[in-house]
Amino acid sequence: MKRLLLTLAVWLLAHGAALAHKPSDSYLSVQAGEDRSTLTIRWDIALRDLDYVLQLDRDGNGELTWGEVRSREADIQRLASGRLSFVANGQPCPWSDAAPLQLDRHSDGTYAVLGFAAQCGPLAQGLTLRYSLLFDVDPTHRGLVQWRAPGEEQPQPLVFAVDSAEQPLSLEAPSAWETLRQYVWEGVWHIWIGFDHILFLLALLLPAVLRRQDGRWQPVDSLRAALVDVVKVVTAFTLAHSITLSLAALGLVSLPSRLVESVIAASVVVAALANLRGGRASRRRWLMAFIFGLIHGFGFASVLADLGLPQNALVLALVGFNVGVELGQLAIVAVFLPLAFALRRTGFYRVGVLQVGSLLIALVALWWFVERAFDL
Amino acid sequence: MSFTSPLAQAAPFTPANDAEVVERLPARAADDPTLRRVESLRKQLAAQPQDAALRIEIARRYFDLAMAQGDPRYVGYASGAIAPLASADPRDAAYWLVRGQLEQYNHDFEAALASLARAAELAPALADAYAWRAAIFMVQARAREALAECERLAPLAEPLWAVGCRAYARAGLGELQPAFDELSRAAGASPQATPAVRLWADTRLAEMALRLQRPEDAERFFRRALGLDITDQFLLAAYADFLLARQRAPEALKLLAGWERSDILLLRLALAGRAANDPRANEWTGELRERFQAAARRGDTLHEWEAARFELEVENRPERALQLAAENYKKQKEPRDAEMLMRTALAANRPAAAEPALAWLRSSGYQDPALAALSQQLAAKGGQR
Repeated sequence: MKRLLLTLAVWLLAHGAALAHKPSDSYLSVQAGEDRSTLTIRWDIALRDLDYVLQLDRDGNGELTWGEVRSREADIQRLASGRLSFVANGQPCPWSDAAPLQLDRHSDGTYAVLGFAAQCGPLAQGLTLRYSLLFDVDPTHRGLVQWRAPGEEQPQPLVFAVDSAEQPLSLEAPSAWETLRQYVWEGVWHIWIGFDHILFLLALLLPAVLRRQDGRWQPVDSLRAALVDVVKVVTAFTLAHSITLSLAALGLVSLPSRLVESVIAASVVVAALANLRGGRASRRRWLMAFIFGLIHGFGFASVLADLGLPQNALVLALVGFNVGVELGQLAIVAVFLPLAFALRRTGFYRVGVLQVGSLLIALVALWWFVERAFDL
Repeated sequence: MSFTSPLAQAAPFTPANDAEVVERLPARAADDPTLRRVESLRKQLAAQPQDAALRIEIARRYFDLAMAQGDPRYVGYASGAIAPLASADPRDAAYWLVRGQLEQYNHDFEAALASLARAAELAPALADAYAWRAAIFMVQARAREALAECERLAPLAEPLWAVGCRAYARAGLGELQPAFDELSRAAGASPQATPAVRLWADTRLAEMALRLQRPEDAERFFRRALGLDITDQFLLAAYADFLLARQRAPEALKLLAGWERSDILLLRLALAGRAANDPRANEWTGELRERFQAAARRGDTLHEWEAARFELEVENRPERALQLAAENYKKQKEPRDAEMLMRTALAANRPAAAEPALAWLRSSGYQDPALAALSQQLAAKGGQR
């Protein structure tokens, strides 16, 4: 038997742990009243969990009747009120007004619905929730809390676990800071994994440490000159894609994604080829950055659409994502510029990096273009 | 997630009379001897909470129940049973074994490896410890280290099992054909092996046959494994995927009938239902969506692979799918995890995101035409081959 289990175990593991049922969660909604002193609470606890702790199934037949549940109402209330507490201004808030026990169905079974209130006195600062239901018998249990601060429509989700059993309840609006942080990070991530955006930017930046003189590339004299050039390109690109990203994300403009993706690929080809020719276009790279940046903005917008935008914090998310994209870009520039500046006098940079590099970029992007435009 | 989510709150109700059955508990202690036994141990523990051996025994039994029934609450109960022992640093191999098993279940692989090593140190003949370490190394794409654990396991385990462990590891090291030959010879020569071991070996053989582009053989092994009459949702999932990939969705639907309660099989049901235009497809999709939302709400990341496939093939959101697949690949690096990362990166048009999987493919010598084809497509889009 032991060996049998052993094999089974490894077999199961080799396929990753799969869950056929839900782990244990309870659902709490806590709302602060307009009087800024009363908290109204609804708490849904799975009957199965209550049975595990309180043995509700008295006759042991595996079926819970309403009678078996109802007759233990006092025990259930006692368990619940002992495993939840609010502390305001350093004082525990006493319970009041327990509503009669009711039931509700969730996706994984029937839950007991408890309703009660807590009187906290004037809520100023420092409201804390302590949650410890089931943590002693099931450390994987979670308390999923929806907290509505006074006067707030939108609840804040909080997850209580063994190692986060005590958390402050913010009396301010749902943290805009959190939303912003999350979308900034998404923006950074998407420029980093977006090969086409990176190549476009690099193609435009490669000549920044050189200048065109008598039909030849010469190294710039100062870092300042290179920096000015980089700033012009990056600013133009940023400005352009911010405009279209915003328009698209707000649903004001939309373009078919195949067109957008194809033009993005084409933009990389054009930018890279301009480096090889070194003509007027290569001096006005900021203009190219702006024009094609408009299209790249639509590309970012489709990413953002996939992520989903919070309706209550649309603008915040949009700004966050944009800032993230910029930060991601700046990180790339910060790596590129010192390297390129150091190498600018070498033949390796002028031929190997600028010429051969641009040619390679153009070829890769040309292939993307063919693939995207003709849907290969 | 919005406050009005159906998961969260609906209108509560009060049943009309006391006799109404409001909930059926998942397994009746009365019918299930395993559950009855652990229930009685729990009662004993209530009387003597200081009994460490009793706690370990309860945890072990709950973990076995979780594995058999796929119910994560039992994992929680097992953790709860041994939690008070952690501070005492027990010198009992059984404690470290079950602790390691629980840690791997929660994908805390480094901690699990350490706990299992501790178990092996305390009881060098404990085959389970090596087997679990081998399995974890395979999940982390560390086939060479897995092979070393298999060698330690060999003198302690039944022959087919030892061969299977080795073959599985070698097949991940570019020795697919010899590994397949060795395992299929051993499986043919071991009719006395326990059914569970034969099931495991046959399923592995089916997978290897697929990689060797011998689908008829693969199907033969799948059918032989199914013929053992052991209910195993992972075998069902693997065979369903085989059928789905061959446009045989109606057969997959028949195979999986009634398996909605399993997340991994519900995913295949939804996919097969869509492919076969089954009227239940929408219902399955909706149910699955709800389960993934519930998991996301509690911050659960245990089935990111399934969620990635769901986003990719059902919801058609390649960006989101890629995000999940990339997150999954940070911890789980089996071939199927690599494949999902490559597929989603391709679909999202972000070949660079597949780089970790491509790097593994280049360095491991892993042979699989499906992965090779994906890597070529990614290379064409700008990823490194």
